[in-house]
Amino acid sequence: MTPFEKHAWFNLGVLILALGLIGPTVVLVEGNWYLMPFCLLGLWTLGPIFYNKESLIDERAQAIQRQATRIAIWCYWLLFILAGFIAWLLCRSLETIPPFVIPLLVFGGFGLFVLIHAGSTIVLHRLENWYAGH
Amino acid sequence: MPGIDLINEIRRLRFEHDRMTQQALADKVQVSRQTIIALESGRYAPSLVLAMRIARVFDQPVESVFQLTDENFPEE
Repeated sequence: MTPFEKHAWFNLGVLILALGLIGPTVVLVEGNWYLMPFCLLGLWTLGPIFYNKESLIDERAQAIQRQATRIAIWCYWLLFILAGFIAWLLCRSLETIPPFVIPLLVFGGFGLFVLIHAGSTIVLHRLENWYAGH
Repeated sequence: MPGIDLINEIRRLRFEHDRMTQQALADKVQVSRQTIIALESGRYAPSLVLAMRIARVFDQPVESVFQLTDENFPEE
């Protein structure tokens, strides 16, 4: 497993943990604390631990990483436009945008980018390894 | 890019060099074995640095290891 794959699994794990805690927080904690689990996404900053001097980062893995980034940016931009349109549809009758919409769009958008990027990285590496076996 | 293809002699050269394994070659040029597999199957075009490293391992000029078969760019 390349450092990029390990990093992708780590990011997925953090995202799933954060999203998994949102539901119970909404039920168990009163007030606007339901966005608190998003703070766990700060664990993403620990990603560089997967890239030490000894780890082999070859150019093909980097090429796969660039491809995953292109896929993630493309999907993010498409869904960002779609989310903006949906937000406009839902909020156009209101005088102001509800306060949770902006952080939700920012956190959600970033989370979605990381989700797609990590997923693409894992799938592209699996596909490459599958091709290598045939 | 359509019409451009890079073929290589890595597999043949490995066998000519005491049946060097893919892993041994990968270790020498500091890439993963999957990269060597992808190169041999023609699914990946290496960077110039990697191509030169591979050629150096086999003590061959780069153009003996890699050949460009581009129908839009014929040899003179």
